[in-house]
Amino acid sequence: MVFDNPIVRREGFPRFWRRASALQRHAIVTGYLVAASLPTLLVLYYWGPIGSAAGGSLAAALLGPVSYWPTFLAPVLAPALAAGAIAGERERRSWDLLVLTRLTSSEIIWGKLFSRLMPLLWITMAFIPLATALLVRSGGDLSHAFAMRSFGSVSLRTWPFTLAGWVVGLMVAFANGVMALYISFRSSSTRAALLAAYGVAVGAYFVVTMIIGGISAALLFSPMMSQMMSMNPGSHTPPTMPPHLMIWAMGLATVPPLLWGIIVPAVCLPILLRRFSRLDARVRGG
Amino acid sequence: MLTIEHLRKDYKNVTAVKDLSFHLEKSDVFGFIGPNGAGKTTTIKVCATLLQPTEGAVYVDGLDVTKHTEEVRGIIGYMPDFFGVYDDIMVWEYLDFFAAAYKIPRERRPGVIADVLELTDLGTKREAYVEELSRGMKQRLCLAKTLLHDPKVLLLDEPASGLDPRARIEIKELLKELRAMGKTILVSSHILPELADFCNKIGIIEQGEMVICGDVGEIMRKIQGGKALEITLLDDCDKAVALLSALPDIKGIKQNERTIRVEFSTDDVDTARILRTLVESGLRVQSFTETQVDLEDIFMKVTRGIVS
Repeated sequence: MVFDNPIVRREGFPRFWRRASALQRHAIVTGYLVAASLPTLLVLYYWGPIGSAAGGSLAAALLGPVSYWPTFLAPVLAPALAAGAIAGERERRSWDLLVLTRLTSSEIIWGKLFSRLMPLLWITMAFIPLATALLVRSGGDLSHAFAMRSFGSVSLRTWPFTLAGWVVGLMVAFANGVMALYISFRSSSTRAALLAAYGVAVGAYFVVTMIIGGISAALLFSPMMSQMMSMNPGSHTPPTMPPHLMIWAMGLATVPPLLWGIIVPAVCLPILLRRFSRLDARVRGG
Repeated sequence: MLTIEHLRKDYKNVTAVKDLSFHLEKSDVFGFIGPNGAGKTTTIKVCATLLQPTEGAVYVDGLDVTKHTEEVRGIIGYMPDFFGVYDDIMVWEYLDFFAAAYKIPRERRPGVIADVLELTDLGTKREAYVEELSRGMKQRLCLAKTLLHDPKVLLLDEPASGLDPRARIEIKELLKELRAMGKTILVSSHILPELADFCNKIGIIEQGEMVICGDVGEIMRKIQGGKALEITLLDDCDKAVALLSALPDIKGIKQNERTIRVEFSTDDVDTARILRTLVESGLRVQSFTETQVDLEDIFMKVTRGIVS
């Protein structure tokens, strides 16, 4: 059970949670749910009746920024959270003591990874009700979704593609976290690990996925792009895209990040676990 | 309990330990002495399964440290010379974390933590934040952490380093208690007089090689090679030196102001007769004591003072 891992319990939860009694923890969870629900209720019930144009427009406009979190911000934040996981322990000189306990390599690696990336999970979960409510209020349909997405907008107005975008974004965040953890293992200082993590993880991610995917999609759909550029800013009806082009757009925009989210952990984690088993490497990172 | 056989450890450009061998029985307290860079910390880290030996073997309770790493970690307790603590965590939380990391069952942890806090005299600091503790208390906390899983062998790398005299005495008393509990202790230190108090074996290492190793009493007898007397006079030291020089089996005489140190090549010396001779010659003797070499004397005699 991941929450039995002492590293997760120590690093994954804030001080007030660790020291709270059972009753206090229930109160904290209730407070969190209320805080997450309030914006949702506001969107659903106090923005005017469902189906109104003004409420729908506002919701559509807000859906983009809310979706920026899992698709853009989480992958960018993940290296910052994970880069100091092991390098920081070495700097603090507490790494030797941790390594000498009866925790296995897997428990230490997964404990560090999970505890460092947990804030991303909590924030994402807090956004889910709000995003759902914005989706409901904004309406939208499939044919519009990819026209918007292929030009870099994250304003997806359908449930499946919004969720797919979020899942892919979180997979990329996880992949960037794994890569940052590996770099942290090989580094002797948090600063070096942070710089390397951003250079490698985020830099490579942006080059491989967004630029290549975005440019390719833009070139493929340049006639659509021209039409988009001359669109009336007040209009929220993008041009309709033929279904077969929608598939291409989905592939170009989504598949590179999805592959990144699968391949990076699949490659980095076994290497990290294998290196971790060597005594000198475990201590020195080499 | 702990056996090191022909241990060698190379780093990139330096050989930290060249060819080290020694053996400790259960309940031995081994003082590991050497100048900076001699290889003490490297040896301790190999025993603690933190480093891979280049050559040779280390066995803890019959288990090879490289082949049975997990089992060995359950038997040893390691306290480094420098260690860090976590921020924003209380003393009991720190110990609870490590107790969980050592897989001590949840229901047993409060009792174990209370025991180690009592043993290390940190009971009153249970709710204190770790980063607010003094250096001496942090050392005791680290020792408490080391004892959580009740290890049979303790590897302590300069446990009294940087401590004030009172704190050093407290650590020394604690180590005596641990010795009385039957633990096998390997402790490295620069503070030699304190080691002599509770170690039954010592090993002096220099430039990666063991210079001398064995029972403390035997080494002292071997190095000293005979009796030594320290005589303090009120005056007329030259006459005393002349008288003493005529004695048989004299190995050496050193004078320092009014104090004369006489070394014999044998233990069979009639000290009463020597004192009587001095007094009957009209010399005013202020003190007359038999001295023994201490660890510092041994260290200075057997090492060359070369720092790696």
